[in-house]
Amino acid sequence: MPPNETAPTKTQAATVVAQAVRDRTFVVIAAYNEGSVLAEVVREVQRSFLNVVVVDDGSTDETFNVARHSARYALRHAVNRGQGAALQTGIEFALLRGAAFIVTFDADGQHRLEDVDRLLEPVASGSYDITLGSRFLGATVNLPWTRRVMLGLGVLFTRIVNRMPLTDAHNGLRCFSRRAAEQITITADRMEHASELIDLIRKAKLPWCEIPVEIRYTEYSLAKGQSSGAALRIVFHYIMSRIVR
Amino acid sequence: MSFQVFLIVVFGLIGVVSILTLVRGIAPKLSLVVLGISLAACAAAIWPDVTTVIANKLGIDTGTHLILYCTVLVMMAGFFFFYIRLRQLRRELTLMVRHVALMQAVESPTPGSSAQAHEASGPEGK
Repeated sequence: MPPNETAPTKTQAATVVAQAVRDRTFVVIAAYNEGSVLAEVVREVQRSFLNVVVVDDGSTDETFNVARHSARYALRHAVNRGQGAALQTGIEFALLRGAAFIVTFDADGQHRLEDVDRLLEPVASGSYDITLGSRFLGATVNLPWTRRVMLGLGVLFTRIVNRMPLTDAHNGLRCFSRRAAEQITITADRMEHASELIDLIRKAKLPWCEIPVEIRYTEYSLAKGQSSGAALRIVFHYIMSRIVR
Repeated sequence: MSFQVFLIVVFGLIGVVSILTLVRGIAPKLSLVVLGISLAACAAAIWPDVTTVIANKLGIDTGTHLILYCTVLVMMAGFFFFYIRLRQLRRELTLMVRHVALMQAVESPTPGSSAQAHEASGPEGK
């Protein structure tokens, strides 16, 4: 398939990936103060995936204790460094443990396990090196209009600044082949890592595509989400990171 | 007059400190910049009218305005310098935190069961 295809048409039908592929896949979950929901999220993922890596990003609640008793692998940042830093830690750990495929999954319960297979299948088959989840190709549940506008502006920003024709710029559900994970290193510690990641994908010239996924917004996940002020801060840090390497 | 003396003493002391750091090789570039600024400030305090002459040549009304603009520029450059330094320090901190996290990874052979976790003996796996 040609590289950098945008949003291939995918059926919403369930995709089933061989268990052997799942067993070579590491699911990385970055968590910060997610102690109340983490166990349930990890339990759900571990129904299908053996290798779940939780990176506790210096939480002040019981997140790490939950992680070490529920996940196969638990890592802890001694101090909070941000989601980008935590994901990169998890990815590096997965590579060191011999992961063939790496999936990033949010800790707040927004993602569905069945979508992971749909992201994994094109990468496992060798068609793409990177698959990115898109809620705007798929579906959203309880997405407030303010958040929709903010995400829309994020997409616009990505199209202009990153020059990548994405439909969803900041979706935490992604899948990487080992080759892609080895070539891409996230250096943006905080939420601006999502924009940096898109830059890195473009520069790496690896084949990628978007896959429709469903995002479930709950009261909990909305409370944990980014405010408009935070969005401006992300833009500032992202621009500065492009000026100052 | 007394304030002029005060300014000359303060900037003179800053100049002396920057010379000492320069001689000892501590942050030579920064020391050189600070020395230059302190010398310029001393000169402006000793000959205040000169600032107005320079200002007029640059198309600025008064020497006071010239000093104000220069101060703003120096402060902005200073903020930028410290921002870059802060970014470097943050980056180094992240790398250190990551290294420790990788070395102290905990592996649970039977995830989901209670109290089974143990040290993953570093990330050597592969």
